[in-house]
Amino acid sequence: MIRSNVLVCGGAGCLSSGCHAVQDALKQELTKRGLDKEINIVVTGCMGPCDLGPVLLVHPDGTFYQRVTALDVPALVEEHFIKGRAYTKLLPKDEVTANLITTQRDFGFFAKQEKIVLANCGVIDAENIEEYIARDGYAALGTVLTAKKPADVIAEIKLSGLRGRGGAGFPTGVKWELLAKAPVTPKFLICNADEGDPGAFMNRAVLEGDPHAVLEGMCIGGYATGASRGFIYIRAEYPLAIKRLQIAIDQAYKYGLLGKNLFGTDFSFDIEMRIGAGAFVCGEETALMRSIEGRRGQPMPRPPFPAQRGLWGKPTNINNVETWATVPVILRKGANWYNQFGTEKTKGTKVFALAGKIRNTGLVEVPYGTTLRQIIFGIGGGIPGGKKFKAVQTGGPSGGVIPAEHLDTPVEYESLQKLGSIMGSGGMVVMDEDSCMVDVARFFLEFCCDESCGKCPPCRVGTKQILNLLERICAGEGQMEDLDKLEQLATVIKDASLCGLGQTAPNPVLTTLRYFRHEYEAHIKEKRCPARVCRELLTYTIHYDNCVGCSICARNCPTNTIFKVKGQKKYYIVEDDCIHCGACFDVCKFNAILKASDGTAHVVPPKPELEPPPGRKTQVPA
Amino acid sequence: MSTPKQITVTIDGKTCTGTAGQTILEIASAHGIVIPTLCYLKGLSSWGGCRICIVEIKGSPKVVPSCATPAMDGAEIITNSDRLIQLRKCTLELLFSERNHLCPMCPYNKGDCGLQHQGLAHGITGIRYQYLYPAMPIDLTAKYFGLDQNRCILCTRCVRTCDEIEGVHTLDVANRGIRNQIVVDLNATFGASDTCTSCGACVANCPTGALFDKAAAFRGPLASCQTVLTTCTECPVGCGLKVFTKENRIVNVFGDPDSPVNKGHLCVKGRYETWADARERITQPLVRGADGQLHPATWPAAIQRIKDTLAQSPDWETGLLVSPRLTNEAVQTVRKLADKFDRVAAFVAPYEAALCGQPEYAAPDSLQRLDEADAIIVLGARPSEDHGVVAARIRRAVRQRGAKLLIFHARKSGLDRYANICANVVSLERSFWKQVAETLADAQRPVLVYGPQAMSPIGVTVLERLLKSFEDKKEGTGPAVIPLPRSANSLGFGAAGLELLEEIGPWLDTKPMSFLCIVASDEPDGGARLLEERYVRPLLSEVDCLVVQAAYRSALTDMAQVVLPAVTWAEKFGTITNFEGRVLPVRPVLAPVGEMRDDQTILESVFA
Amino acid sequence: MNLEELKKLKEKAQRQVALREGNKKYRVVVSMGTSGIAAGARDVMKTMLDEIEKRGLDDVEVRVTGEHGLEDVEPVIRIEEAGGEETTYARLDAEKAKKIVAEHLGKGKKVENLAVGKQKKTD
Repeated sequence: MIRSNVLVCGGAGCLSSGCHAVQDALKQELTKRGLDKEINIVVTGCMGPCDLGPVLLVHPDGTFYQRVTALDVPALVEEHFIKGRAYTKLLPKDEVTANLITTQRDFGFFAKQEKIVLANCGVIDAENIEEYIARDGYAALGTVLTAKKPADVIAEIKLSGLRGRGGAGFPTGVKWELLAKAPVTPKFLICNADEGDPGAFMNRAVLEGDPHAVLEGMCIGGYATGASRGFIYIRAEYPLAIKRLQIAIDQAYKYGLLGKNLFGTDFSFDIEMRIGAGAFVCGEETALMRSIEGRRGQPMPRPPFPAQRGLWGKPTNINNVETWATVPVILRKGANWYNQFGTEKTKGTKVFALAGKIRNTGLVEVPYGTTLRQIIFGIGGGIPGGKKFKAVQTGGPSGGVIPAEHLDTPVEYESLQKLGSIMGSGGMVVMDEDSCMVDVARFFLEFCCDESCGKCPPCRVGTKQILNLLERICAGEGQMEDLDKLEQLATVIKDASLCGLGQTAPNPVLTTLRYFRHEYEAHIKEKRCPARVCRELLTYTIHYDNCVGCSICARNCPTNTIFKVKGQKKYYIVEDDCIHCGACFDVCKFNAILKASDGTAHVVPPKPELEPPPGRKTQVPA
Repeated sequence: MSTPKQITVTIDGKTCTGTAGQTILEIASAHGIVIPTLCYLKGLSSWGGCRICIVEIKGSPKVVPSCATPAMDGAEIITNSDRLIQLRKCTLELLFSERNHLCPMCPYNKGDCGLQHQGLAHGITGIRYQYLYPAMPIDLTAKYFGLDQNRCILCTRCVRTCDEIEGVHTLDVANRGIRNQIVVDLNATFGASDTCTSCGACVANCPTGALFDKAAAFRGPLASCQTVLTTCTECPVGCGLKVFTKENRIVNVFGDPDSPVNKGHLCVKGRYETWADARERITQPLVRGADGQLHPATWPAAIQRIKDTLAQSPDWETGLLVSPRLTNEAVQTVRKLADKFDRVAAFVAPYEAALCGQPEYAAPDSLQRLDEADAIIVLGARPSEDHGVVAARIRRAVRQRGAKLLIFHARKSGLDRYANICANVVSLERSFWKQVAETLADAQRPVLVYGPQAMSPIGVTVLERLLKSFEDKKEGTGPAVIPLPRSANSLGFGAAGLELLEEIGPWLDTKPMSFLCIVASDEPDGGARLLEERYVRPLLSEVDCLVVQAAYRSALTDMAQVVLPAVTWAEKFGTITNFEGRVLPVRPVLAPVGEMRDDQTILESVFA
Repeated sequence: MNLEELKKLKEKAQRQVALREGNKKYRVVVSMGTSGIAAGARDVMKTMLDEIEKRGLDDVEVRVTGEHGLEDVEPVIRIEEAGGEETTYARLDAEKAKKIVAEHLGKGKKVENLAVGKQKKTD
């Protein structure tokens, strides 16, 4: 009899940190110790705390192990499965009490979440349809097809208050109703799995960890709206998700849960994948449809809307992965169960991808209405390294930064919009005092400028113009009028662009200007980067007190601009040729390199008599 | 079929009615309200990308492109608010900043540039953005036009034109964002492209100087030219032309958008080859002197020489051989003078005689039938080489409406790659006809286009077989049959009852001819192709007195004793009959510079 | 696939994922310290696992633990029930283990003659 399941997280994050090696070691060790008939290894989807990977979860104990390596496995097996004691070396520690956390239930990261969409992620083997079925998978579809009418399903979704999780937050039930009303056939459903926001991986986790939820959701949607075919448009950069999704689709067909006459009714539904080709703009629904049709991925004006004229001119409905994955649980547990979560205007839970300067990087699912503080500090564990929180960027490149004074804002669509940002698909990038807000704006504009499809001049040329301005400011060449120019351009781009990419591209600039104007002014007036990020505004100086004269900085300087002080075991950086690459800062083991951004207040330290570093023949500059 | 619903909208306070499905721009235009546009062009699909035609709709915070947005019943639309004007201005300024729009260096300066026009209309005298000064390439490898990327605003009119009108889709956009660029094929040059037909439609539709005609460049704005509507006489399609001239030289040739034949579209022959190619023009009568050389002469002298020669030898065998390019009026003159000659004939393409038949062979509304066809069979014709505008319509039918295309021809053509079945007429097998039947099984509106090669022995067999395969289909779904000759006024000759020669050798040889007048008219090669036929050159050199009436010098005119200068299509006045049976006007766009006269005048003055 | 078949499939597959759902009716904790192993605890556990599987008892989870503090009477197991009750069995062998599975886990009847005094929960 199997007495224990060891869940190895097989999400992309843990894959990268080597969970395969751990898995193999486990298999080997358990066989060696004769435990392979008692202990089952299950590879699941993403469990959430991606920074702690590879992770293991042992059931029924509920013991959570972090940062497991193959070398740890023999000792872990000995302790946990033979002696029955937790292997303390790999247990997580509570940030506040520094106590060891012995079970998952006590781990704050998990305990404070409400996993609805991610309920199966990290629990089941995503490549085994029977495990999905064991957890009530496809039961909702069965009930819907045999006992409910399409209009009932739409009513249930409307009652649940489900809003599209892709970022726009449009009521899903209303969207389905529009498609159901369309008189033309065939009708299509699309799952938008393009997830292009940098730092967002919520959809990836669902596709890798619980793909059947999406399939079941789309079937239910097809029944409710009269659609007969579904397409999952998935970005090519998600090979693991593509693989798991194809396995899921094949298994669903094999088990008769996809295809013709489902559950003995005359409802048939087919799903196929279409793979993207590296364009962020193809996450926009009209560009996505053009891409599926084999054309250049460029948006088309709306109206006409997809529900009127979509894929190949036929009525089409597009929803996000998370939206589709929520549908089965709503139909299974009921709209009234679902709408107890969340706030008045926004029901249910949302998956957020916490990234950046935060202790617990990974995926968290919380009800709407949870505050930013609760997410970032309560679940995320706050800022590591003793640094101070500065801002959180929500909604990816279409969103904006939110500073500390708004940390107690409950997270929902309208509240974030009021602050100048957007919910987006759920990306949350946390920034601390070492993040430069001007650089953040520049980074996101560089992204948007690169990803712009180029169809309309406001976005195509406008984002380039804004990027040029920001690059100049970051390089210390900005002028105060540039801030007015930024705002003017931002308004034009927002108002005149054809699609959501252009319409939201200026948001990072607008919010950073709104809340961190002083940083822009420091860059412009004082040629200073307060966060010490913008390269051209940095100076590197050797602090004589700490310098021991090891010469490692000089040996690593790419422009040979570090020299030895004559007669002393000290070194000196000649600032004229310094390109501010920071190589010396990175290699110095004695904290002797001061990285500063004093701007116009900078004083070049007096130049002593110099000689070339030992073993080098570089010319000492005059 | 239900009648479309009537809708009412308010535009700038004015009540306007339209039908459901019409765009805001269409309704506005119909009521005389001008909304500025750049990427929109009537006849092409709506792009909605330039953001200049944006309008506001009450109740919606976003602006919408009026060219692509269907008008909703009851909508209140504003076209000229301060916000819209500001956005348009800024968008135009961004466009000016994007590439190198140097008006003084551009042939479209001062009136023919859409970007300049919008800039001036919006009072733009300078821009508030930094110029980006990208290094953009120029492609001058096409024979008649060039592509200067510095002036391109990426409106994609050229892309849509090439895809939707000419149907070859040679042009498209490559890269992304600010690096967007119009490319030919897979980033080839025009000169190296194997899909570009040089029809020049993209050049005609480009709003800026990005795509420009080499011959028209820097000849001044179109508004400073004279315009004449005439008909192209290169092939029996008979496209309407709108010719712009200045100081008695052609500046530009566009298609006449109101012509029911071509609706503004042209092929490389009509748009360029007839006038942009350099040829040597015969401007005066030439008479061969005692020294054996041709010398310029006056008309009276030349005519007298011919009359004297004929008078001297009254029992000479005389012949008149005419080009099928003659206008109907010239043909009438030929008929009138026919009994002055022992033999009169017209030279046509091989096997074409059967197609240059009676006027009842004409197929009216053939082009409309093509536009509606869901299956097209092309037998013994090469529209992509000989009738560019028909080829464009066939490609559109195949690519836009999924029509089936079957080609039967011994020679390869540019249309082959679009065909479902492409068969060499010479080698057909039994199993092949089954495939043909399957392909045509669902055709509701089939069209059979056949050219001269269909009248060859094998061609006739195939034609009969094809028609038979339609007999088996149900009543009323037989094909519309369109005969497509090659020579320009083939049908005009039908009524004349002239002998039609596909080979002139035998005709020359039956009885030695002593006097022959060849009316080559404005054949672009000056009639030289007659010499390619076997034995014709030695036979012609045996003719005692050869008179050639032509517009261009050639090896044929060089053989003549007397050369009489004829006018070209640009100087002719008359009519031709196209393959549909339409009688179309040919109007002079230029005054002849020299002693050239039209064909009927010459014939009358010499032989009447 | 119809609803009936889906239900059956779910029941069959549920055993696979059951361990991850927690909250079983019975938890069997096998003392597996050095003395326990020496006394034959491994054999006892293996027998129990086989017997539980043979009888198809779904509501049982089996765990191991370190020293129990009852070295003299190993092998020792403790059965914890959902309601909070705990029963400790000592001096076990394969035969006795089978009986416990059949009676206590299978029928809910404590095997009194094998049980020792109530122990407080130690972990």
